[in-house]
Amino acid sequence: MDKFLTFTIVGLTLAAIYAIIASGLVLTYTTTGIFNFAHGAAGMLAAFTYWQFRFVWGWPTPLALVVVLLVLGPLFGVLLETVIMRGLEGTTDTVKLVVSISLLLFMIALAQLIWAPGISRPLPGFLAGNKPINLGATTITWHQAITIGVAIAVAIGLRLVLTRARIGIAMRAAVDDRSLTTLNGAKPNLVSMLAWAMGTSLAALGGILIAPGPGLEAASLSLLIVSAYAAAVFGRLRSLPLTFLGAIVIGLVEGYLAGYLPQNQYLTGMRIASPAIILFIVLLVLPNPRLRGRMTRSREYFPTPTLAGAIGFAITVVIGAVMLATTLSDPDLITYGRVFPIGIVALSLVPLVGFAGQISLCQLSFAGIGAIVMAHLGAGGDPIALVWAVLIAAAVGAVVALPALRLSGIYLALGTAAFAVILDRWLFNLPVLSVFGLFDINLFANGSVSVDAIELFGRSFDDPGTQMIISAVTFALVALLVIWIRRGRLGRRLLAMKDSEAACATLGLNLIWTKLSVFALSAGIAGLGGALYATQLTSIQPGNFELVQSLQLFAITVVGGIGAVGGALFAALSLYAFLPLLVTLWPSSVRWVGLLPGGAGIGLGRNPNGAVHDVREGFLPLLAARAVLAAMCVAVAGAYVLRLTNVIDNWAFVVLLILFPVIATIAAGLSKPRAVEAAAGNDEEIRDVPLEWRGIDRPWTKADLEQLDRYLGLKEMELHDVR
Amino acid sequence: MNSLELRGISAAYDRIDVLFDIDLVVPEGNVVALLGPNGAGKSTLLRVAAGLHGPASGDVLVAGRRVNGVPPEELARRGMCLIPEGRGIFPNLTVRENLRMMTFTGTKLSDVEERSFIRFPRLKERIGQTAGTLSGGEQQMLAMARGLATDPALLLLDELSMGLAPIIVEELYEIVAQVAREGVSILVVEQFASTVLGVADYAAILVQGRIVRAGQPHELAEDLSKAYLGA
Repeated sequence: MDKFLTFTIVGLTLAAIYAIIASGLVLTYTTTGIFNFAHGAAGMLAAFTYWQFRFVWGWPTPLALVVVLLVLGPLFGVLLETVIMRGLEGTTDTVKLVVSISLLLFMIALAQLIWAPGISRPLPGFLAGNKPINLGATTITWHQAITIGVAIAVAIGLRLVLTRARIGIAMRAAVDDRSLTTLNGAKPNLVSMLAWAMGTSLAALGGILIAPGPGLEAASLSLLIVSAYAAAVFGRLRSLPLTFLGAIVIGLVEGYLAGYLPQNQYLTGMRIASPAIILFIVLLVLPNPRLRGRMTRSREYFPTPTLAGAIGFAITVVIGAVMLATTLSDPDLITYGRVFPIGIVALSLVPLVGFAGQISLCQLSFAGIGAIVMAHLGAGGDPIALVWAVLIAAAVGAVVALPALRLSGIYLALGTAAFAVILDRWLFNLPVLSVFGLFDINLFANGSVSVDAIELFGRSFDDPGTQMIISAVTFALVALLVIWIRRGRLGRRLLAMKDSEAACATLGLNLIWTKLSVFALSAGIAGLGGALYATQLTSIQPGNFELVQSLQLFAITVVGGIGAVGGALFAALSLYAFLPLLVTLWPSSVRWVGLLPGGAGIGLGRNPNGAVHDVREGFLPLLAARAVLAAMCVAVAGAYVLRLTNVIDNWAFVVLLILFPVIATIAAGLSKPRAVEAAAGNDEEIRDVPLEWRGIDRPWTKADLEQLDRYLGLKEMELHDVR
Repeated sequence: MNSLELRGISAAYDRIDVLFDIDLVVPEGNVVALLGPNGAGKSTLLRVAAGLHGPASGDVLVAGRRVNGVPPEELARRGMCLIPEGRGIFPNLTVRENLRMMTFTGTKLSDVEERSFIRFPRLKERIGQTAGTLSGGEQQMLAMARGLATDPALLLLDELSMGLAPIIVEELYEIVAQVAREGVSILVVEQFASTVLGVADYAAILVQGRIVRAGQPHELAEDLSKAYLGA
């Protein structure tokens, strides 16, 4: 009985913290519609800041608490709302998610920049020196008592603010109808700012209360707080009372698992992963949300790739890889060789997220599965293991998709993140598992597994150059596959499903089958990428396939442009070529380079089409000017020959590689036909007639046609032939 | 003095033009009815007037002062009251909390309640109930209550009749007429014309984003069917 009470108190303390954090999350989500993935990171930063004030600078506890909770926390929340979140109105769920995920990555990097990781920073609980309070059968520490008391106070306080204070009522009103609150004379921006100030302050409170347990470590503390998200899902991210109930359930389960779970090496991970498991289960039993009939209007636009463009892209990738493989040293090849396998994992996001509008935050987990398959079935270099990697990852993807089929948007993101956490914290750390003595299941048995290079026709492809070329060719082929899907029947189905599931259902499209196939396809591609990644790494461990890396890859692929294969290449190049290169060129940047991916993602709200879209727009005149393009190719080939014959070194080669396309683009821009400008002049005269009315009140003119073509995005070249 | 004046207003959603060079005046103390078929741009016109949607060109003047770019909450505080299409209420708040939301324009809660309950005693009975569970008519009453309780100088009404039984529509327009007699300027948008023409001093017909006809109600009655049928 004593034990039961003790672990009840442990559970209730956790529940109290989860409730505080989750209520802040619900507050910001309901009033502004943005699910803040960085909510936990805000709590993490608060815990670090509090530690700095209290224990480094020696401020008295009340002062440190007041400054963090009542000054810095609210200010930070207001800053987030005004600078970042306000600009996200009218963007898709994906963009909103990427911005908040990037914020999470940025804040983790920021914390690691200020407080170097790897140093022990003890943070004692409140009144840790005092004797625990005796409750007869058991005792409760002051920290536990304070935590539970604070949660009760938060519950009562929120209730009062949201039902009694006018501004609190306005916050709830904004959930129902934001523009109507303005018609009532309430200032909606003020309402949002207050919600973010309160929400961030609650995150800070939760962070300070939870940190003494697991200790101050930026990444794990930020993601540990993910457990609190499960509580918010109990309340469907809306209801505060249900959120508190969810927090109690999760806290108690975690507490009792700590007390009663048999102490063995298979189940310890399960306790740590239990909030994620509960989250997964709750998502499963949550009442099915109705299909949304309303079409989501968005600012995104991804044009259909052309066949010539696709082949050009594939050839460029392979040629680029060959150039790299023949010019770089072996250590460099190992560093930059990760670009293409990771690029394949990023490609797996394109059909799933870009075409189908589904969200997955566990692509590297699928890659991890592919890597494990490669390590075990590919021992000795059997290339068939690659096929198995694809098939097994696809099968796991389909299994994950089954519950995900009824989820969408933010719930899907949470479900897949929970799956990644379950793998990270538990399954990937399992020792060898013997199934009834029949066979062993061995994942990362000893913490790491070695992987053999692929062997074909008696030849082992173990040198990094060949491996890079194999990965690049595979990347190019998968990119072609993705483009082929985009141009075909499945691609149309996926895009239609993204625009309106309800409309697709009424057209007789089998949503379940479509979703299942795209999930399996995507997981299979990720598994292939993981398998190749594994051969390149030669030794893999769970740390290579963590949630944080999935988040980073997801965010940067969206930054690049999730609707096109170029976005995947962009992500892989940025993360695994540009960042290492920057550190090589400028060694002191290693301290802050981690801020860049997050920073890039935060800037996404401005351009939801992605960076690649702009790059391609910039290169369009070059592609049209054939002569200039040919001259550029010759120049690049010449530079390559000079490099191979050692006339110039790598740096000069790189400079030339960057210089030639830039010069060519400028040259192509100069020779651009003047017809475009002439057409622009006509715009002024005919602008008074709306586009759809042209040709009704007077006959069509050439200028009308050209304007319409441009509006519809038809290429001028194609149209000249018709005319 | 004109309570509301629109000068050469054009408006668009993204690249789709909705309103073309609209001129419209609501003289102080008058009721102006804006009629027209579905999709004519009537609601957009009201949204532009209330500051919810920025015009592509043209000026909005309230009580003689140009208010382009003034945010809607500021216009509300200056005495403009738009009751939007559908049910202009917060369904997840209680009736009391909905009334509380009406105090942002500066009216005391006791005054809001008093003025609402005189005209709509039903709301007093339902004070603790969640607004979303009220009947359609009661919801519209609650929405209308803002137009009465906040004592606006200019009332903009968007399709009061939508989805309501004819008898309730009659009742609501009875109240509109009363409010008008108290000197409030009103711009009312309707798809169904007969009821509203009874209370209006002037009326205009909006078709495909242009005002095709304007004048006194009796002059317009016969043009209406033409406007709707597009003949």
